[in-house]
Amino acid sequence: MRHSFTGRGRLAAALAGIAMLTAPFAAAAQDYPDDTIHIVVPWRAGGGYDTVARALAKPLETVSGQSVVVDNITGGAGNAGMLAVKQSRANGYTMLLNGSADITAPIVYREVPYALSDYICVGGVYQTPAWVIANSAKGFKSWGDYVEAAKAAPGTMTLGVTDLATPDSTLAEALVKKAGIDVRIIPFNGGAPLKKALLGNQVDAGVLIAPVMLEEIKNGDAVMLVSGGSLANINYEPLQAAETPAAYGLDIEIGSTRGIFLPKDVPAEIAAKAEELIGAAAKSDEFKEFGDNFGFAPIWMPGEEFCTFMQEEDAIYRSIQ
Amino acid sequence: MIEGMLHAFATVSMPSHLLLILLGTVLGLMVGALPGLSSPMAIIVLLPITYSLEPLSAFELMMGIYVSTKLGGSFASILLRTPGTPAAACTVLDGYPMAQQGKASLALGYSAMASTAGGLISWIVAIAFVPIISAVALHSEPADIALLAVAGLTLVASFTRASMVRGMMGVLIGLLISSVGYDVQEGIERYSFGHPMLASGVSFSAVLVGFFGMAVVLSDLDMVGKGSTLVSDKIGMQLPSLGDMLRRWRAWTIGTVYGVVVGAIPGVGSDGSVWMAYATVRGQSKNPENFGKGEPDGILAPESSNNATTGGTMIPMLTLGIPGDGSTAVMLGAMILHGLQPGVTLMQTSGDFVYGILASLFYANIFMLVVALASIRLFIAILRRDRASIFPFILVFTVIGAFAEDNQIFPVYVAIACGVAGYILEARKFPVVTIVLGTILGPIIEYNVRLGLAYSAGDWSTFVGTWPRAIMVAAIAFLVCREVYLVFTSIRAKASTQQTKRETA
Repeated sequence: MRHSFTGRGRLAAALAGIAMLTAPFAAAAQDYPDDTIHIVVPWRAGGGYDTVARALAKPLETVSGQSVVVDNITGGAGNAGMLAVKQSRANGYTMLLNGSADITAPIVYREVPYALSDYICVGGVYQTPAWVIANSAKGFKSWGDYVEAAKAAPGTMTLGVTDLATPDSTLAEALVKKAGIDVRIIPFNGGAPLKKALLGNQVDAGVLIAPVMLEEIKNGDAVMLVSGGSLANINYEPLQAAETPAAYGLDIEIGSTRGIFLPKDVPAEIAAKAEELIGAAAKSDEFKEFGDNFGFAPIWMPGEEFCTFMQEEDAIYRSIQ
Repeated sequence: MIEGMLHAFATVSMPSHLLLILLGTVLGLMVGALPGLSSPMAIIVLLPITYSLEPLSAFELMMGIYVSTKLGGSFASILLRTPGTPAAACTVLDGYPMAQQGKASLALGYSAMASTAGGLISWIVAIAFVPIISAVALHSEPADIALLAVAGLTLVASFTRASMVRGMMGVLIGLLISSVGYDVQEGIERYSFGHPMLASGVSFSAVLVGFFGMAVVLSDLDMVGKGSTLVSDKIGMQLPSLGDMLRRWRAWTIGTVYGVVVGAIPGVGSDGSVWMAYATVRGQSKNPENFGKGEPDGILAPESSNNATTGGTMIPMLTLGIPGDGSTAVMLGAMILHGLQPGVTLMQTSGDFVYGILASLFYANIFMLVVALASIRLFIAILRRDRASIFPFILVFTVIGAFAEDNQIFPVYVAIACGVAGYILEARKFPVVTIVLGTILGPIIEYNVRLGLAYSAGDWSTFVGTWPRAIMVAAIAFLVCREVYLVFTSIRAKASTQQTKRETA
């Protein structure tokens, strides 16, 4: 069982509270971090987000000198974890790891109990684009081929996405809208069923978050048609210069940037210290090694840049809606 | 395929794995013997403990429980005249009279032999059919899976012992629960009343824990403070001779066939198969008048049948991701929680796991006989104990089970709500298992129906587009029509008897 706050943490927080009364903020910020850091992941253990969080936790332990625990607080389509962080004590010891689009897309497309302004962006650590994949038996070489086939037979072709209000559904909408084609966009309730439908050749093309299906691309079972963003960071050379939506007249980048967030009331000094620590962890060799195995080199996007990025993303999603 | 099976046996035969199966078997016999406790409940209660285990290890424990509760249930049927599990209800008919005649030990022996025979034969059927059917299932399309699941739910409802109307209502309540949250195709929020925790639907494990754990404790509260009086004090286990078993081959073969077939049909499970087996064996017997008075065949038929369902239910569970009964429903949930994807691709993606489950099914059947033989006195002693010492543990574990999936308190409230609802419904003779199966099959049906429609561009004729689909639709229609007919004739019969009563009065 994992607990969000240990007994020791509570005692430390109480002491910190007393300290705050006497010397506002200064003492707490100076000592930060001097207790266990919790990274809340709103998704199940064992998934992609959890893997990134646990990989980041290790170098973060080294640079902070504190133990770092990953808490999977799941449920409510991500709401539970987002709320848990929003309502947590704003002392810098409870962080959130989530994908940028997993926050902005639900804000745009759904009713959610949080807003972008509830969080401080600490920094982005891992970025992968959404990409369009087809079974190689279909004979498509690029998104252009798919569009041509769709124009020849309006209303019959299918394009799978993992779920609604996700980067992949957004990329699908944007590409289809721009090409002016009549295809059926089908949500598959997750990456695994969509992958099965692609391999079984039951769907004409599908949008997933890279590097899902990289193995199938490597061995020739599947073809990548277009990528929602640059693939320069991918550790598979033939794809590094792949086409992006720009080749089809779309000036957008769509993918998932996983980053760290703090609740909005965290004192500025602590947030700055946290940004420093996360940046060091993201740039560590340990995290880089993880990225190479996972398929993409990690990135470091400082807090301010990350916030601007998310606002732009929010604007892109609103324009596509 | 044979290579996969041998490999799985090599893995499962390691001491640490065997120990888990053995532990499961002991627990299963105990849980089965205690009236009120059942195998879905034991599995769901143990689920949080298995989180730290490898998926296969977790399932070894579960298979031990699943198989041996079927035998354990007969202990209480024979000694107490109260079935330990619903599947052992039929065994009371001849088991208890036999015990009254002072042959309790022999009755237990017949039950143990029949259970083992039924279990092992069904295991052979399972290992023969699982690879074949999963190869065929890989080519199935969403429309096929949707129809199979609908047929399963219709069968669940129509074979419910209480009445099909109640069964149908249970299934529909389950479907209603499963439709809470964002709908997959349109992204519309359903029945969440704006509550953020309901956005992704009602937590699956919370529903299971509530209906199978808390509701049972509430229903059985009247057993607190009471020990049970057994039919006799000096009881052991006396196995029948092999010659006797062979002479009575017809009873346990019929039982096994019913068990395997009914188990393999999604949704019905052993609670139904025992009665069908019993009726058939009695109908074919030379002296049907002996049944109900302590006839050994009347123990062999249901006991072989309920264990034979364990092999049968493995077929839809492992090849299609569709549960055959309450326990397999819980196991499918457990697979998801352990990060596996049940469904037609399970064999491809996790072949080792599938074969490992089948290998542990074999060991569970062997251990069941050995443990029952060696420590029947222990189980009898537990049967005499006051239930008050068990309930607190169950409640603690159910709460942990509901909490652990999401690390959230909200699912615990959901579990308590389901527990209270389940208690009230059970008290009014609603078959709660139909609600659970509806909850589990609901998303499978909705997702596949809508995906099938998306593939066909909204054309409903896709559901009768191939011969297998047309046959399934016809079968579903037949079951529903038959039931509507039965309901109306029974209403008319009731009305006419009332009329004659009034006329005579």
